[in-house]
Amino acid sequence: MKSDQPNPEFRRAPELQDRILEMHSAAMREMSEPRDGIRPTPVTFLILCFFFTMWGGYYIGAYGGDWTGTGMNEKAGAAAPVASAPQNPMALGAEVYNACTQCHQADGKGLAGQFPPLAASEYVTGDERRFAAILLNGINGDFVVNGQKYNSQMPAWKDNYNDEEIAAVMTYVRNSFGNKAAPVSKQVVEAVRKEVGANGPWSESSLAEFAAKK
Amino acid sequence: MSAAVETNPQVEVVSRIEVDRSAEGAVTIYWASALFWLTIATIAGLISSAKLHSPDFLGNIEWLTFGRIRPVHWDTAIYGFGGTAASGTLLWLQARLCQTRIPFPALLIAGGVIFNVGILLGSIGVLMGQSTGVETLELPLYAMPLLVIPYVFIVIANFKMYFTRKTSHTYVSQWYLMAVTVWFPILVLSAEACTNLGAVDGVAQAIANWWYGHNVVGLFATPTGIAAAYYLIPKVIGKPIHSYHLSLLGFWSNAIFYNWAGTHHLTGGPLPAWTITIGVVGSLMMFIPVITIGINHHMTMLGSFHHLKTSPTLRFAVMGSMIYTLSSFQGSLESLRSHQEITHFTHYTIGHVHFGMYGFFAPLMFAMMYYAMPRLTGNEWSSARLIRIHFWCTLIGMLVYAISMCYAGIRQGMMMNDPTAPFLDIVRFTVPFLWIRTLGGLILFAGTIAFLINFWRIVQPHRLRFVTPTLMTTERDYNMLLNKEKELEQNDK
Ligand code: HEC
Ligand code: HEM
Repeated sequence: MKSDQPNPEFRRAPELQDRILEMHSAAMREMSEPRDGIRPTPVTFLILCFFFTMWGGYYIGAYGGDWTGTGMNEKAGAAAPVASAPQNPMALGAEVYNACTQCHQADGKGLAGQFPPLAASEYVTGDERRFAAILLNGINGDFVVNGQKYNSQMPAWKDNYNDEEIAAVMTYVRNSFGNKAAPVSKQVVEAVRKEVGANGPWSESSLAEFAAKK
Repeated sequence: MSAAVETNPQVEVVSRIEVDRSAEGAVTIYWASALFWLTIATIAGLISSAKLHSPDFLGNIEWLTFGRIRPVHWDTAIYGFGGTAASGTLLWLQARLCQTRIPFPALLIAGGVIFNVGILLGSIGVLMGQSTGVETLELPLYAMPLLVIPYVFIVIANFKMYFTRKTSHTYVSQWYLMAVTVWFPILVLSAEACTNLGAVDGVAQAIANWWYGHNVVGLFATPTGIAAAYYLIPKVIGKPIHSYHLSLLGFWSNAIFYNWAGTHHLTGGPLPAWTITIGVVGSLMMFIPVITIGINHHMTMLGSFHHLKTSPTLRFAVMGSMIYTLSSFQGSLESLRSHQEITHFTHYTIGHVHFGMYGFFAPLMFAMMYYAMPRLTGNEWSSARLIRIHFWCTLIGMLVYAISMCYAGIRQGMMMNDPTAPFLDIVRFTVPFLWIRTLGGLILFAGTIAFLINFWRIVQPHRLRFVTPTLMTTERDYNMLLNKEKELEQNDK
């Protein structure tokens, strides 16, 4: 065993040994290197560990949220009843409408010459299939609303929102800013998405064609 | 084989002396740097603290505005003091426990110098306004290689010692030291990649940031502190550590759970709920390693508490080990959502941090220095009174700081949850406690200065030579102890 042999230099110079040992009186007086005892782990403590582990499992189950990248409500897990209750479409719609305010404004009146109004617009309160088609695919180019001409772009929302959310924002817009029209079900959006969801943005004429088609 | 060594104490002494000779340069330079940066960090901390109750203090010096001096306090405390103190500890403990000389000491000494230059450049950069803005990783990127390269030397040296060890048994301290050398580089590199180098954005960046912020404490400072406690307590009192089985359980549960805890820093933030939930569970599960380590250290000490009277090393080590248990219990409970509703964004967090860092980590590093410096330099500590001052200032200053901040934080949190309480009233309420904090900081500073003087004297080349250890005792205490020893011996028979 190597450690039984002092360093050869040290043995070669015995006259140095005393001086070195004196200089290292601290090292000489100390206790030997620490060792391990082998007492067993207390059983009560192991039982305690078991309970900690059970608690951890419970807490993850109860407060895991919905395990998605966007669910921030820790009580939204399967165990919590809140999640299964249907969302109020007006509330959900108001939330989604935040995405529209930068153009159509919070009061739905748009900006003269740039963004058409949603208040008192035939496109909003009229045919719900056409409204859904606008939201899904967006609009490009010349577009006349209430006799006013606009030439800009309305973005497509099909990748941002699911059918329920689009139906909700439609319901919200149809019943805000002085509008009054029937709520929209998500089945309508689903059907339109199936029919034209793969197309690009509408022009005024292609939209009219789609609306006439039934 | 340790048994062989035990039967031949002469050989063990010789091997110790060889190890200490080889370690003297590298370890001393790391520990001297640690004390230097501790002083700087304390001053930066005092300035930050004063600015909170007296906003005009040094108010018109651009370099010392709160947003700059506060990160400098953190970085010099954690990297400057913590990093160097831990590196010195790591090298010396590993060499002692492997019974090997420290490899390439010149390289390690150079590493120590480079590290200091890195902290210095980085801190000046932050003072000049070049902070990256990422909390805990504020040092400008140009300083980081200067911190990483020396650490690479330490990692290599550590592995070299371990794989050329002359002992067959790997002691529990060594597990922690090996773990730190593996974990820390992974932590720093992935955290820098995910924050300052921009590998991820937004919320994911914040998660990476606090994953790192918590782990730099939990997977770097804490294991080094625990390794020191596992070494020093049995070493000084000359008894084996209570239970190998508990050591095992403590080590692995620490390794498994700590890493998950970081997201508790972001409770209430816009994170997916499950990430925070997992952080809370990771934090609560820390009860397992903490209780395990607590039992192991306490049971080892049982029956030897009278040594606390004289041994400076033991006093600091036991203080650190006890506060490890307390601050970790506090931290685990603090992570619960219901607790965070009150204490998040309050001074409570800061009370907890300093309870942990100055009550657990720092005392264990001091204990290492008190134990090892006489062996490394061949000198003894020059003044027992200075050691006593250091100890009492550390304990009292830390308690004043931690208790005032935790109490103020709870009250502050309750007031902030009350929508009718005017915000300015809440701020006014905390001001007296902020003054008490500055007072606590000053007491800590006094202790640091006492230690600095003693340290300065012990590194002088053989100016002061004593052949007996410096113990914190008067003659009366000494006689009392002798009687106590005799009594114990008689009981044994
Ligand atoms: C980037 C700006 C912008 C955003 C955001 C936007 N739109 Fe539009 N929207 C327009 C423009 C511009 C038109 C007119 C089309 C054109 O000029 O090509 C338009 C037209 C419309 C029309 C048909 C014309 C009308 O006024 O009735 C409806 C309905 C509509 N948008 C609803 C919405 C809804 C609902 C949202 C939110 C989900 C929304 N828009 C978001 C710019 C926008
Ligand atoms: C089991 C162990 C521990 C757990 C679960 C824990 C938990 C926590 C919690 C919940 C916070 C507050 C988060 C916030 O409100 O923002 C925190 C902060 C902190 N703790 Fe601990 N803690 C533990 C041990 C320690 C120890 C031993 C130390 C010191 C060595 C320490 C140092 C810190 C630091 C530096 C912060 C930073 C706070 C900040 O700047 O926001 N912790 N810890």
